[in-house]
Amino acid sequence: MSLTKRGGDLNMKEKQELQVTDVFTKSRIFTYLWIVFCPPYGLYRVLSPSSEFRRPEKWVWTMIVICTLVTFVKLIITG
Amino acid sequence: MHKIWGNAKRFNVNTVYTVEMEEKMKDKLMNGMLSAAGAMQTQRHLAAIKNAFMSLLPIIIIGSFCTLFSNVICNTTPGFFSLANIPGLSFLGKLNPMFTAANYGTMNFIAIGCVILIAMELGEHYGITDKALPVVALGAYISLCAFTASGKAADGTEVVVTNVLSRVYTNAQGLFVGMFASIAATEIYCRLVKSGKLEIHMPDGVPSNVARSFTILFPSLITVVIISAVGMIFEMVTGMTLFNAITAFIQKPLSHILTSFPGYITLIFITTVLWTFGIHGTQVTKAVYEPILLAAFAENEAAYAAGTAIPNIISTPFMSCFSTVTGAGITGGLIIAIMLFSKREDYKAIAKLALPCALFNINEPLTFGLPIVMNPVLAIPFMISPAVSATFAYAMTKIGFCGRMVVNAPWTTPPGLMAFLCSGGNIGAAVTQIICILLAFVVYIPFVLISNKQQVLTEE
Repeated sequence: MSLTKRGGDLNMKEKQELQVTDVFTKSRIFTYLWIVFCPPYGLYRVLSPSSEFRRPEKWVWTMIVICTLVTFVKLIITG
Repeated sequence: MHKIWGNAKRFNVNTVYTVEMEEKMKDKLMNGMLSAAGAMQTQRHLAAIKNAFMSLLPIIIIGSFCTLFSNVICNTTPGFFSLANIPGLSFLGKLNPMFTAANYGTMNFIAIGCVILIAMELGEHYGITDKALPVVALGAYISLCAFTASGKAADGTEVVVTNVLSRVYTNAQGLFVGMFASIAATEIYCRLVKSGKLEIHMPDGVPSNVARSFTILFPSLITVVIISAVGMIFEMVTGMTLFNAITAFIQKPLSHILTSFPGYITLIFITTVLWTFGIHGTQVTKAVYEPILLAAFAENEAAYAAGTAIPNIISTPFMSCFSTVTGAGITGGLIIAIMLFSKREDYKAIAKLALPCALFNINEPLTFGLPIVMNPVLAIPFMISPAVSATFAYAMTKIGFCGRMVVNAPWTTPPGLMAFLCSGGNIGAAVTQIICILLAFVVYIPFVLISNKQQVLTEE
């Protein structure tokens, strides 16, 4: 196989991988801000059918929002 | 220059042979590099780890910014430099629980997120998208953790609490074992499900989702039991938990190597060498260094939040601030060198185009435009300047001029501002980062001058 083709294959494989630009799109950045300032709406944006989040990410963000909310309530209760 | 030498050599038969040999050697070297990089990039476990860490990146950035906000904006501790301590802005202190909660929910559950993401990414590679898979992987990981935690009570006595999961297992300290446990659990689960031998066949009238839960019942059970049994047998034989053993004998030595100065320099050298062959060096080596440098960063971040001494110099933000600022190879220095010393119109045009991108640490226009890739003249300073910069920044941090990195800013943050944010507002760090770009500029000057001569010779 020629070097050019092999290099091209490698670049194709790299493109199939998740890139930084994929996780920092405009819509996603807004969702991240909502998760900090209003976690329930942030979670709604993560789980909505039009969301850009991939299946594994939906799982992890759900877990994180739940943990954040529990900690937030605990902090308010305990002062 | 290479082309000119090549033409000169073609004057006799012996040198033609030499040129052919040289070409063959170059092809062999390229083939070897491409094979190694391809193997690393397509290896399913490494690819799953890389994707998982890419998904974790926003979580880490949110967590670290929340630490910064809760310390610099909302901290109401008397005598602490914070906006909330300025008269009239004390209401900012009321926002502290929000940032503290977001920080806790993100930074303290990285290992759990990592286990889930790796399991799902690897499962998708095998074509298995069962919702049970991440739960099984998490169960397998938890089975390796101890359920007691010890600490000191207010009166100084040692207290042991049972039936709790220490945060050691859920934060960045648990990343390494979490990765192994998740990969092992996913491999076992996928193989068992794919074999189909453990399926429980239900009658036709049973709904498909109920039938599916019975199909995966035994693979799930066996996976968790195998991992748990391995952990138990290991503890019985050695007297220490598998988690502690992996942490002590694999994670810590590896961490010492990568967060030590020589280990770090070797890592960035390998990364830039791969770049000069047109291979995305950072992507290829990421799966190896990311968990270690991230754990080092998490230790720094936790120490910063607790107000104690910051333990590590080298961590993820250190790499972004001082080894890849303005792009891999610190090509911001090259842009300045070209603008001031280059006589080549093509270089100047590309440098002008690349300048706005370099302000956001993107250097593809230069690496592929000049190009730096497969260009022996520019490849040398491209490999040297990150090492010089890292050495300087390490020395400045060691003497206390540059603050240690406690916040993970997005990699596209402009130079100067990035180091300022990452160090939690240290001016010395911003100055050090700017000096690093100037050092890279000095490294690139002779090679830009060589490329000028190269152009003159080619024209002649």
